[in-house]
Amino acid sequence: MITVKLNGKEKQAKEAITVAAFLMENGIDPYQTAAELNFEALNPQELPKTILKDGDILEVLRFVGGG
Amino acid sequence: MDSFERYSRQFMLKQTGIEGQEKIGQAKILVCGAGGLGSPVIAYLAAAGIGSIGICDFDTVNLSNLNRQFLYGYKDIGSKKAATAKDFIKNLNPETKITVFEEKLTAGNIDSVMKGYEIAIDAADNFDTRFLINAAAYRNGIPLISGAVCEFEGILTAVVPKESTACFQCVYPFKPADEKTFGIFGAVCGVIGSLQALETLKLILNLETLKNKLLIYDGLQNSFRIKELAKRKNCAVCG
Repeated sequence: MITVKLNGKEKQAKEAITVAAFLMENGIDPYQTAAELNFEALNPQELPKTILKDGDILEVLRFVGGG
Repeated sequence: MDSFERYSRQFMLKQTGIEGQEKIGQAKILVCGAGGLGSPVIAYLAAAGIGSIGICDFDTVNLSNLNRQFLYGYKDIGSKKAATAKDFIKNLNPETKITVFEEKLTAGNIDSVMKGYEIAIDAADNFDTRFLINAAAYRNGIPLISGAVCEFEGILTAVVPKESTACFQCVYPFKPADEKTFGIFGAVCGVIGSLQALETLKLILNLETLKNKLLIYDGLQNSFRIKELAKRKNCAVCG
């Protein structure tokens, strides 16, 4: 198991999990979410390909762009 | 002396005063988007006595707009939004000068549309247009009050290029892969649009605004929280 800080809260996850899978496990739709891994913005297309490591810091914000 | 009575409840605020009201009366504001956010923004800015408002929207009114876009009524279906909004404002406050822009905002016309305005308001309904407005405002040194909504949520920030603050693309460096049509209550647009109008007035009055701060509203949880923003070193617009 690894520990990832998601929006400031520590969460457990299985090893070699992708950002997209981790977000889905935590009830967040990865396709509607802007993500920043260790303070670097992730392209939405990279979310299903990026593997999380122990101690990673993940900040997410829902895409809100309507008017 | 009609103006004196009209704005009396505003200039009795110590943060406004007669001098502040005069600044509001001289202000020239561009509102990009006359939909769910644009409706409260335009109405509250005109009601507050903004001297000149540019309304930019190429769209026409349809029935599904009417749950949130209160500048329009049933008889306006099929009419151009920007011109119809002008008619609404003429009745609300004939002292406010309205200029209508009915062309779609593009990289080719946005600089000329923004020319002469001292604050721009992003009330657009998609990320492509938001990125365009943010970049043009930054390039032209025009402060931007950016607000957006989705379902029960809303966000708001103030971007001030001359103070080198974080911009909208520091909040969202990338667009979503797919933008879907989402549900919305008009009241959520009302919350964020009203706050956009308030931030604009505060900016005119040199009061503290949401610079380098992102306000996040959750209408389901009844919560407002503020996230500190930092300028991204590699931001495509302001980095």
